[in-house]
Amino acid sequence: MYFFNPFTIRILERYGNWLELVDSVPIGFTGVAGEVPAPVVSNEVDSDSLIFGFSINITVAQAADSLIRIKSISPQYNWMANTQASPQDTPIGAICGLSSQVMPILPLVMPFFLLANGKLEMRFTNSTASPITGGIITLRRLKLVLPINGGFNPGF
Amino acid sequence: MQTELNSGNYINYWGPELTPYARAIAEHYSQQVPYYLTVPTKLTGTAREDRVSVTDPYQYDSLIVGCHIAMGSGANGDNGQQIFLQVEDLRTGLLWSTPGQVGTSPCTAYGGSRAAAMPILKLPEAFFLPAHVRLKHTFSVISSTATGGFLTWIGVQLINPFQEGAPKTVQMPDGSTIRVGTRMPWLSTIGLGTEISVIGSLRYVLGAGNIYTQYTPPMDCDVEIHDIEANWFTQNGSDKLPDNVLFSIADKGEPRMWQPSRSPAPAVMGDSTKAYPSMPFTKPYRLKKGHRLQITTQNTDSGDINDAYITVRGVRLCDF
Repeated sequence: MYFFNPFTIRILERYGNWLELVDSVPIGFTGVAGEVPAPVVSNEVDSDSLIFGFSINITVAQAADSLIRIKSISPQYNWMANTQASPQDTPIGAICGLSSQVMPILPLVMPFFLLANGKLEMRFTNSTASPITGGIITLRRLKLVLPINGGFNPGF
Repeated sequence: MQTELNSGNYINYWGPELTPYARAIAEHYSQQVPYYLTVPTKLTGTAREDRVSVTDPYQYDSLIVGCHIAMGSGANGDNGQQIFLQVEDLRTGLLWSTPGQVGTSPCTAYGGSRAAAMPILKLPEAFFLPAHVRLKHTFSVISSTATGGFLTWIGVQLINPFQEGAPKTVQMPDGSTIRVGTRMPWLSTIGLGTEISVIGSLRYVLGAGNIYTQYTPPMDCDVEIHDIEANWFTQNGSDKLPDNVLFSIADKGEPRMWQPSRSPAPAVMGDSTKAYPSMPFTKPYRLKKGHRLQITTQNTDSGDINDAYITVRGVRLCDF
């Protein structure tokens, strides 16, 4: 399910050990159609980490028109390439596995490196046809401990 | 054989593994970040509609690896099965779907559907999109109507090249060096059965009990064929009994490549409702320049099947 491409291996080699980290974040939908709650962030951890995939506990119908936008804080990157005046956010099903489906976790094409105490900021838009109340997004991460020569330097 | 597999000419389907070509490009950059580009279809529910969406320039080079579609419903473009798409980049103008009678491919041949077991469909080969180059999407409906919907390209942003600019060439695992851009996604769609026109709309009818022989258009360069996608195992949520439709495949330019018997459709091609939306070949088949793939279809069912398309997917092997 997960694949360790050369870039990921290059990062892993800079650490003495890698620990499984399952990070769940409540979204805070209140059941209002089309609502855009305040962005939520992933939990801070005291080590660098790699994010491998996402899962969300909503139904197929609820996911049909729910949207997400992700950017990282430290290092700062926008994952979505849209640059229009009114950017089109991404359907949730393109990023997150749905808990009710055969693949409840969707792996990322490329695992994402997050510095220690860095955060992923996720902005959601609730479904208009089947609004969600609550909702939890889960990140599957590897915590990278025992850095060798300072660990991986993302270059900035 | 081992050398051939080492050249990257194998099919990797499940999971996020990059192809050897994509890995070779990505290794020229020090930072690699997930990439999502969502494109609206802009379709408005009008009959025989064409809509163009052009993406904005982006600051980083990127690799497009797969696609997700979130569009329509059973009665609205049949969840993308009856929404067609042509893609080109505005630098080379090379088309991803081959020109021909249909000239585009169903969106389900490009991407995994939100409503299906496999929500992301990998492209046969990653597409290298240089920074500031825009992608043009032409969405069209042929025999139905559709409103709204999105397509999301999924890939990797390539940041901070080790050397100045994007790589011009890359080395494949077998040691060969190829130019970046010589491998790109290729889709060829044919409508199954008799072509008819209904009030100006192109339609296809796979008549009950009939046998048809059809061909993909010949290409101007070699093509590596990876898999076949069908968009008709279900239509508007109704099961079309694909076991009753039999197929055989042959290469018209290579007499040794043929199928001795006809096989039920699910053994030959995937469908957006399946875990394999596009059924892979055991290993890629190289269709030489000018050759055509012959596809014979037999509908043994008691009823006609309308507007059924199949899409042969692969990698176009030429420079621009």
